[in-house]
Amino acid sequence: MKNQKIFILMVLMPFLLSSCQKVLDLKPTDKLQPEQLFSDPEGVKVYMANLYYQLPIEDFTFFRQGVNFNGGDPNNGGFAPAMVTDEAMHTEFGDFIGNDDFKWWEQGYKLIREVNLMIDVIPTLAINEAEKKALIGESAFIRAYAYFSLAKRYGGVPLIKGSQPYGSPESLKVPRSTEKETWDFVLQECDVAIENLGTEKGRRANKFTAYALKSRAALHAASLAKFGSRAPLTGDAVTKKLVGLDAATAAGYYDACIKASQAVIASGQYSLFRPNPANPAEAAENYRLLFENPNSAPEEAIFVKGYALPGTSLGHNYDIWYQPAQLANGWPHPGRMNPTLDLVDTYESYDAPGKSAPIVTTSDGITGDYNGYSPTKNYIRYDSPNAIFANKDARLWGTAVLPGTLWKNTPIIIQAGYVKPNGEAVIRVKDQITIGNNTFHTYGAASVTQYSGFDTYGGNNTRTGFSFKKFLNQQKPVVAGWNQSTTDFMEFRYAEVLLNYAEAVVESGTGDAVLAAKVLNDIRKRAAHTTNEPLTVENVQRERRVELSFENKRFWDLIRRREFHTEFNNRSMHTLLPLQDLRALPATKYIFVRVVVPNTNPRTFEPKTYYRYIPGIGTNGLVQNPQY
Amino acid sequence: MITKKTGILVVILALIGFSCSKSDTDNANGGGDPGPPQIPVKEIVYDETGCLYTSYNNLVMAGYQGWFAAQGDDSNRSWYHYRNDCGFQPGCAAVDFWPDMAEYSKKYISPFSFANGNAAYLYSPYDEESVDLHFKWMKDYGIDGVFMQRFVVEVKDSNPAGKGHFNKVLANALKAAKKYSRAIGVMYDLSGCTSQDMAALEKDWAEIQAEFRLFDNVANPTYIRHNKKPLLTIWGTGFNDNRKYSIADVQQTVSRLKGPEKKVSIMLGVPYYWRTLNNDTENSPLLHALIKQADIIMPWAVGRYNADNYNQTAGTVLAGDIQWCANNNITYVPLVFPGFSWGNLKKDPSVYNSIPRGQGNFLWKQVAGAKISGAKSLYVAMFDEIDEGTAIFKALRENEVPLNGSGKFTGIENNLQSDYYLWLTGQAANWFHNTGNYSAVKPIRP
Amino acid sequence: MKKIHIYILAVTLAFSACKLDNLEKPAAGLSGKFIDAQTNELVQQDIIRGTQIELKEHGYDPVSSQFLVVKTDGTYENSMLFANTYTIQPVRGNFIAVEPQEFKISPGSTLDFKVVPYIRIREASITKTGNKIVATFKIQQNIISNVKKIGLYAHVDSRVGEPMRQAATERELNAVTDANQVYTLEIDLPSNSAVLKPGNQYYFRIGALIDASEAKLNYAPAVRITI
Repeated sequence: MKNQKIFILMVLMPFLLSSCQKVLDLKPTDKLQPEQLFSDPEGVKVYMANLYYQLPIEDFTFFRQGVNFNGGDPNNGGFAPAMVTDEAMHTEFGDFIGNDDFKWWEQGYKLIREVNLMIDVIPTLAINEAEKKALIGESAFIRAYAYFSLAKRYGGVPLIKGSQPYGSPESLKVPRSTEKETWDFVLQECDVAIENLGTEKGRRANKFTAYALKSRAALHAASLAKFGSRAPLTGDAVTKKLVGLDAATAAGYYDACIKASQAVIASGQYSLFRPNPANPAEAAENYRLLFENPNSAPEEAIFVKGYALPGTSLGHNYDIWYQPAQLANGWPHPGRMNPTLDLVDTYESYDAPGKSAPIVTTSDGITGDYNGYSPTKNYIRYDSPNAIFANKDARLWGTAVLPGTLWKNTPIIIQAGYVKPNGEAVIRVKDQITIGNNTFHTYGAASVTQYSGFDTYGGNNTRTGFSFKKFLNQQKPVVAGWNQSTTDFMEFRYAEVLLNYAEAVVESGTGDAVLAAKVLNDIRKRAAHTTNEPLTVENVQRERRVELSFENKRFWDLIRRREFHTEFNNRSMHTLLPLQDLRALPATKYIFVRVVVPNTNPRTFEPKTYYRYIPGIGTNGLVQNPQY
Repeated sequence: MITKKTGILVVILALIGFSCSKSDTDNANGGGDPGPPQIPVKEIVYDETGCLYTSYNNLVMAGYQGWFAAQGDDSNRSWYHYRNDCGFQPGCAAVDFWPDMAEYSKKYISPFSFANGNAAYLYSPYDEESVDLHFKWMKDYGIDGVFMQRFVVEVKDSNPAGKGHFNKVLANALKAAKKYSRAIGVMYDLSGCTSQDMAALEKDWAEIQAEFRLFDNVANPTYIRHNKKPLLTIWGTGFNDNRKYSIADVQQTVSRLKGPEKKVSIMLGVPYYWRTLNNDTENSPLLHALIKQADIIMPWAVGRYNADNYNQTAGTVLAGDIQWCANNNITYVPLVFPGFSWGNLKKDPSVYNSIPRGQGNFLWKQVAGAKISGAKSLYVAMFDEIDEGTAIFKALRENEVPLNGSGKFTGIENNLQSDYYLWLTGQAANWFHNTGNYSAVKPIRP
Repeated sequence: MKKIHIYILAVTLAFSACKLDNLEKPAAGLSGKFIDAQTNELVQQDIIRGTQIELKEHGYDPVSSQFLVVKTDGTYENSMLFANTYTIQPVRGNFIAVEPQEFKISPGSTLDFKVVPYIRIREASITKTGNKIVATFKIQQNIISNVKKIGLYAHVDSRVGEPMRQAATERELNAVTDANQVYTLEIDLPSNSAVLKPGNQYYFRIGALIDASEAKLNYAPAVRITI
């Protein structure tokens, strides 16, 4: 009970303050009053820009402690949401999802209060009807977005559909709506946005942004309804239907997703960026470019969050945290995003398309052996540290820096050790051996500035065998300071809408299965695949994992499909150790060993984590989510 | 919260006086006064000499609707309950199954005919002969007896036709039950009631008690008793489907029906998730207080599972329910049903056989599940319910049913005999009588 | 950030000065056991993601539940509770549902729960045979639901279980089991040599999971084996 007191106070504070009428009645002379702000169209723009800024977009500045965290103290140790999924490990941290992670409550209701104020004021503004309509649409989009972010975290939440007049604290309390009512409100607000917004492209929401949001939100709700029984919860919140959706509601939500996605597809306004590459290398470069500069792909980008001002909250930190150690350029903490072997395994191979192609390291083809190097095992020898990935999907090459590949014209050296001519291996230990006239180093080079893998020095080198590439700027050297990155982020892009469509069709058994299969394969074709795969649940999910990796979708996919607790049941992630095989001298040969990521503990997801706890229930009187 | 509890407690105390000793512990919480000094009222003692069924334990009983009427019978209710709101002619009916009319001595030509052009006939429970036949079947197949359904809204004074009908059916049934030594009880169904209708229930109960001498061990030696009192069933409390009466209404009715001298034992028909107060159940702790006031509960399981998810759904429910009832000294009677079909009633072809019978496997799965989980008795829904297709009595096979215009009738599986579900229910009764050798494997009919 | 810190500090100071909040630190405690109502043996549990005991302290509305974790051997103990009356109910367990009960917790209170486990693992034996750890056992299920899976789990820690293992062999059953059938599960040591190292001691435990909502595994006691 003690812990709760703190929450009570924090929630109580606004109430306490609001009762101090005298203080609030004083008009500050250095601040604008609402009527002054809204009387000027420029003021409305400023206000709206601030609302957009507050959107809980899960981009480079999204972290377990919230969104836009770079506006405060940006030092989060380089921990990204991908690291609590099977996409990546941090070089040092092994944290999983804590009770206080990924919450968005106070900020959510702040944004909702402010957008409600906007909605109230629109009819009074001295602007023309078209402009009013656009503002109505944008406000509805923002409100839909905000409630979507609340619903996916908390289930049913209090729906504040208009400004609340200040009265007694009791009058401000609104009970939670059911989860169904909350999702329905999200979709309803999307519809208001769709109806009022135009089709002009820009940085502000248009009709298709609203459709894309509806597509995503409806798919989320449909999945909860369909898969909720995979992780049943009990408690008051369940009984009162504040969390959980009836399985029977799935069909309606899938249908909403199908219709919204179809509207984007049928509009002809968007298409995949560079859909017909000549070869995998070109596809990999196209894919990389799409994220390095979304502005080069206006046909695919539906909604972009811009980063323009280095050194401010309009800059971010992906380049300092995630560029490989060799290219740190003076920044002391690079290399922290380590894509897992688990993710790498997921990508298809052009040799055997249509299924995941786990990395085979031994001649027996076994991929489930994580017992480490043994001189008696028959490893396949490769000519280069990346030849083992030769036929893997181009998007792997566009997403991760693979051992021995060029990045910023520098060969990135990721090597875990070597096998001495006598068959003895030296792995993850700094060592060297001279054979004839040549000296070989376990980490592939002599000095810590010359390699990017496995040395625990500074926590700067990958421990999975893979470094990170997607979203990173290849054009500029790292600037060793906070918030220096200005890569823009695509919050909605066409490929996601296509994948939403494919999933809704295959999961519901309704909609146009031919079209769904086509769009699924269009995305693969853009990744240089030349054969089609059938529309199946498994294929759609694999395609989501590889196409949308590191776009912070995987976390919610595991949540909404109720797969987190089965995927993360005593789960360890895996590493691919590249070793130089000195038994092959004078030839230069490499072998690879599959192991559990060094220095990590297995992680287990608790089903209660499917919902975040509601803060401050002692004061706001809301029903708490199960097991908190 | 505390004031609320006290309030309820006061109401309970006021209504039921001192019979509710179980509430005493609540006093500690409520902090209220312990109530007026208790004057001992003598519990009523009935003569059970000659009574054949003094406990529901080890019995397998079914529900008996008896609500049909036939055009031409003396009830003047036309095709009551056979017909739908659109009438009773090919393309329009309220029933999915068709009774096997071979043994009925009194039958009525219906507006339906078979593929060969022959007219299809129906029976009316208003006729003594037909009800007699049903009870004869119960005896022939070893089913212990039935609970006669009385919808309160059908037997109100404002509905003399209904009252007349159900009284006649009850008279037929009491006579047949005595003749064939089958257990019989009265079950009020509250569906459609309002709070005000509770008084009608009490009034009707007093009337039929007097009229049929239900408590008379000589007149009705097979009227079912439990805990040394005649058993009265009230079905339909605690459901969260927005009924127009409350748990408190039922609690008051139960208190009055029992009275200080505990005139009757009460069986309550409650929703399936009564214990956990979720899903189909109103989330009110008052339901548990009411149940503790009763003698038996029978949770409504129709539609809560099918053959595929029965084990997963019922496993923990049965075990938890039985444990709860044992702890609270309540008799637990699980419900089993052969399948479900209401395509004609709902005018929706997709719900023909919506819970398939699976050759009796579904029924036997539930029988075995209940028995293995430790249940001592069963309620079978229902003996003659063909509107929702849960009937166990003799019905036509799928390939023998009459034509039904744009719709159809469904039936018992073609490879089974029309009496198969009577036979299988009889096997369940044997098992619950602890005779014969049964297991989770459905018995094979010799 | 700074501003927030100041507010929190100010509020904390303001309220810590209040008399009302000068509560005693929690001095009461609750401990007890989960006992099989038929065999009187302790009911084995999981320490991670296992059975919990939900406590609702009286006098608060709404009230945040507290959850006590149960040790693997089926005992539990918490000595940091406030003396008060609580509504107590074991939840999400591996046994037939237990009703909530009101209980006054004072220093050193004990409360045992007599429960019927969903599954009893009977005649369990775990031995090292050649290069394998071999477990044999029978399953007695006490509810009619399917048994979802059975498993043999290994960990260097004695609190080994399905959510806490370094190696495991599992088999999906998804069927009602026959109480007389002997089940055998094996863990091959050479193919788990990275985690089960020769010469070291490990704990092995047999588990079985009923197919019911929120159910937890039932276990036989862990066995220590040097491999």
